Amino acid sequence: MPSLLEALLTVAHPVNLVLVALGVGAGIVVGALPGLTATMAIALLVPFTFGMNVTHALVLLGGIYCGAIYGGSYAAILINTPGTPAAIATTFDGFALAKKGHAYRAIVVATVASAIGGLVGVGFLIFLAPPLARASLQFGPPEFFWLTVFGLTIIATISPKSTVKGLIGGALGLLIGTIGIAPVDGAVRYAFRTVALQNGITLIPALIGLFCLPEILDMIASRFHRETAIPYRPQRHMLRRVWRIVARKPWLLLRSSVIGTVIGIIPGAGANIAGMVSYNEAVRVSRKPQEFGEGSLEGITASEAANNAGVGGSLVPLLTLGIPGAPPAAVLLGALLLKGMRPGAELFTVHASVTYTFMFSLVVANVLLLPLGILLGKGASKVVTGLPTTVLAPLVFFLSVIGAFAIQNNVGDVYVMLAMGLVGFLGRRVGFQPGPIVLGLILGAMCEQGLVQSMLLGRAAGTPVAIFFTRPISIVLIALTVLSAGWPLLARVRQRRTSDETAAHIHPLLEEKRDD
Amino acid sequence: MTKDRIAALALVGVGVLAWIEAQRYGPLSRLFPQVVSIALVLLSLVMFASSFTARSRRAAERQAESREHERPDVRGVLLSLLVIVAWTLLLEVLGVWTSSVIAFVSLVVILRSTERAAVVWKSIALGVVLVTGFVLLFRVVLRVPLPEGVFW
Repeated sequence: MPSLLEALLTVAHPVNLVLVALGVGAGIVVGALPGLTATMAIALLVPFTFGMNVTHALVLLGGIYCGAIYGGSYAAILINTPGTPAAIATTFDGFALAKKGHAYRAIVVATVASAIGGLVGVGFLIFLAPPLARASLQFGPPEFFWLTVFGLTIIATISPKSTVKGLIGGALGLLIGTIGIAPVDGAVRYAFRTVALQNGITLIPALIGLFCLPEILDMIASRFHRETAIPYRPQRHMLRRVWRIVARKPWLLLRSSVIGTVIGIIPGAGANIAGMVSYNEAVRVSRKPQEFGEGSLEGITASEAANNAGVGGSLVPLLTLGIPGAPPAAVLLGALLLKGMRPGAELFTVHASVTYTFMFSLVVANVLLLPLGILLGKGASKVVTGLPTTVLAPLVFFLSVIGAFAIQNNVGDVYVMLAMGLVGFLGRRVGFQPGPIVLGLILGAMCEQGLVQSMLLGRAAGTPVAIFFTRPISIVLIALTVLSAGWPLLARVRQRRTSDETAAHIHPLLEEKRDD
Repeated sequence: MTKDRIAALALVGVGVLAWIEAQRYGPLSRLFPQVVSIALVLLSLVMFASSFTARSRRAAERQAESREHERPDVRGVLLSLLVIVAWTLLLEVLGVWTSSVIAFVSLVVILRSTERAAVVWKSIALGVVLVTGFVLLFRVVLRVPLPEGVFW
């Protein structure tokens, strides 16, 4: 209780409120730029937090995360290109509405839905995370082993285009994660007498490389197609009018927000999948499905409420178990570790005040989406088309270099960033997405520690194999693993049976981009 | 299709090399990398084999059709990559500001080679202002360490 009160007072401190507002504003601008994802927004803006204390850093990064996911809706509505992949489903109706001359209405609907969805997601985070973190105290090495295996099988679920490529990406990430000092006996592995590799691959440079460099090179490869944004003029009382429309659909808002939160909680699945699934569900349930794709306010609401709800959801497994629910959460994990905070029960005991401040700051960030989103709208729409990509691409690389270097004041990390970026770029040419590689990289150490320590424990007890299969939590995790591994097969069978037009419309788009 | 096969074979190579290298470590530290290497080799072989199936051929054809309209700027990518690698290598030789300004200007010139001189100069000026602004922000305001070299 004292931690909760302390956290509330800390969030209300003017410095923190300003940082949240700055984070949301910066996130909106970066998210609004097509090609720059929410993951990139956080990765590129992490260096700004290096000189800050942990509370200020997390408050700022949380604001950036919320702002960036929402910011993607601007480009989706105004130029029919999602600013972030999370806003793919917003393009279906947002752009259609903008073409009819109602761009401002579409933006206000997206803003209201994002704020409400975001608040629902954070609500789940605040109520679910503490008990889950306490439950994680029951986890021993075998449970952590199965938990990571479960996390890795999710790769199969989130890589519908090619399950095998997703799994290969995961295995490659695991292998990259073994570079450096072994977690069990301290042997130095795969360093090849290179000092820079002896401490292993630093997470943030690797993430910056995997998520940012391929985007820069893709921008260059696509020859900077310039888009023309649909012009719009803010109208008076639009917020009130939109509120009346949206308030008449409480179930749509609630359903979309819950879908977004639940998908956000699933490790690896991000806000883009949340937005698509929620949109699909809104079409299925609607009495007027024919209006979707023609500028339906319900479509925009479903997509935006879900993708912003996914923010809170993705932080549930991150804060409690150290498993990111989405790629942007993976970068947040790097920032947490950098500040000496290890996810798990410790976050809710030793660092409870900081953790609750972070969670409450997300509430503030979502509330601030309403005024900032609407006020920054005009500016963001200018940024969408105004900043030449010939300047944007070098600028993104410049920020990537600073981000990679400043973590340890080490140019070796810049080389790691560059190498991982090349792996990501070449991988993308062959159909590999960065998400599975990152998940493998993050889960690798936990998985190895769980495996080897369980074997040692089992050997000591005379049951080297049984220890993996006889503990109750392990059995639940094994069942979840089997379910998650078999899900792509079940989904394929289900897909063949349904000839739903929307599903056919959605899936090719869903497969375009995986990271948020 | 061909790309898939080359990638699969390269990944088999990575898996085999990782397995061989892991042989040198103790039993506790080689277990996990070896299990992962075997998984990587097996999955890569599955990828190699599946590139011969009819379904995979159809997917590749569809992809090739959509790529035809895209026609990526390969020259631009290669030249930019060269600049990016040189930029990284020169960071601690020239200093972050100098190397970044040179790289920024080079990239703008490469990427805007077909445009009017005025547009190129405008982009260069904007780039120099942004780099200077960010270097000052990180060094002076945020006190974030940046690579230093002969120059600033």
